[in-house]
Amino acid sequence: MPDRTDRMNAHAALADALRALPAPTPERDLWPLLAARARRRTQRRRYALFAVPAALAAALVLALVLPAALRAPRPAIRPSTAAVAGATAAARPGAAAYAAPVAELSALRERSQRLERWVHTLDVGGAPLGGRALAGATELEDMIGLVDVQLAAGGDARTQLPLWRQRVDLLEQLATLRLGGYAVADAGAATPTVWIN
Amino acid sequence: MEPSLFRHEVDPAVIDALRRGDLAAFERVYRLFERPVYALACRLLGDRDAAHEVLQDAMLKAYERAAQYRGEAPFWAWLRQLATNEALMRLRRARRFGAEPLEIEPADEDAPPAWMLADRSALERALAALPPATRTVLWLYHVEGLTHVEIAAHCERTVSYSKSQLARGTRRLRELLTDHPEASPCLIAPTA
Repeated sequence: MPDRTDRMNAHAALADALRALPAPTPERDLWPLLAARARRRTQRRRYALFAVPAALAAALVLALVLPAALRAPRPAIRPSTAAVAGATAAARPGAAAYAAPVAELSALRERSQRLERWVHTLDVGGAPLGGRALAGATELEDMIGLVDVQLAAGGDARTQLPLWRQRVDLLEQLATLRLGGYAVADAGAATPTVWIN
Repeated sequence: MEPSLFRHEVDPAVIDALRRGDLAAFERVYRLFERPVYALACRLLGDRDAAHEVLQDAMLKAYERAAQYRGEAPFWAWLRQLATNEALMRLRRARRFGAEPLEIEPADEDAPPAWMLADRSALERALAALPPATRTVLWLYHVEGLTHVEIAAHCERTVSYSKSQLARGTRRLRELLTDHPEASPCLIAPTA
């Protein structure tokens, strides 16, 4: 039976024998390939360092300018649903009571069409969306589809007004997302709520 | 006893330059460690092409993560860790690093260790014939001088696993060199 010293000697001899084996060497010089890979990665990193703040700034400007530009032809700042309901209840029934909602409805429809055309232009000519942005766009399109189903059910101006507002808001968000950056807040102020890669 | 091939001191100025992404510093580090990284990968993987890939990937990681090196251990030890992890990751991906049962095989331990009598090429062949996990533990323990605790951490296994693989590998090497010195395939052709 070998004792502990014998075993230790055997282990040491094995270590010596293994270390004495000739070390395999690379069959070719990999440096040029490695240097090229390192350069590409460095460039990508530098590009990301420049591009991300630039995209951020561009998105911020867009988020500030876009709502104002799109809302310019609107007849008035749209009232909230509650305000519309309150005003309608307080006023006596008649043509005057419905004039404002109908006018806003018409403006919203027009605006919705314009946005839709613009989004379509961005879809056709724009860069493909990344994973998160694509998921966001799909979700927005689904929500627009749901609004359309409700609009197709018909109803008077007061019923349809909040739906059209919602449709316009969703289209604005979709347009902003297509350009990359921020979602546009409902009230017209730009709020950086969603960061897209 | 010869030290590990990795034991090269690196000038701190070169490490600083590497941290800044200096390509010239990267080339100096690459030239210094090209052979140790490749040799380690070859021994662990038993495949020259895969070892070339490990060499590239480990070096590229060292370049990209140089800023994470804090200087608590020698640079060569940090780089060796990257290379070992990269090689083990490949073994795991190829499912060549499974839990192999420890076979209790009788061995004539009174005889002088076969590796003391065998020539280098026979030892190369016997080493290449070992299962990757066993060969990895044997190499990291005997050649790189890692402890069982360190090996267990690298392999994501227990210390007992490392010890049992070492015992198994030692016994198997003895058998291969004693009984079938010509039966094992030569996966790694030695080069000068």
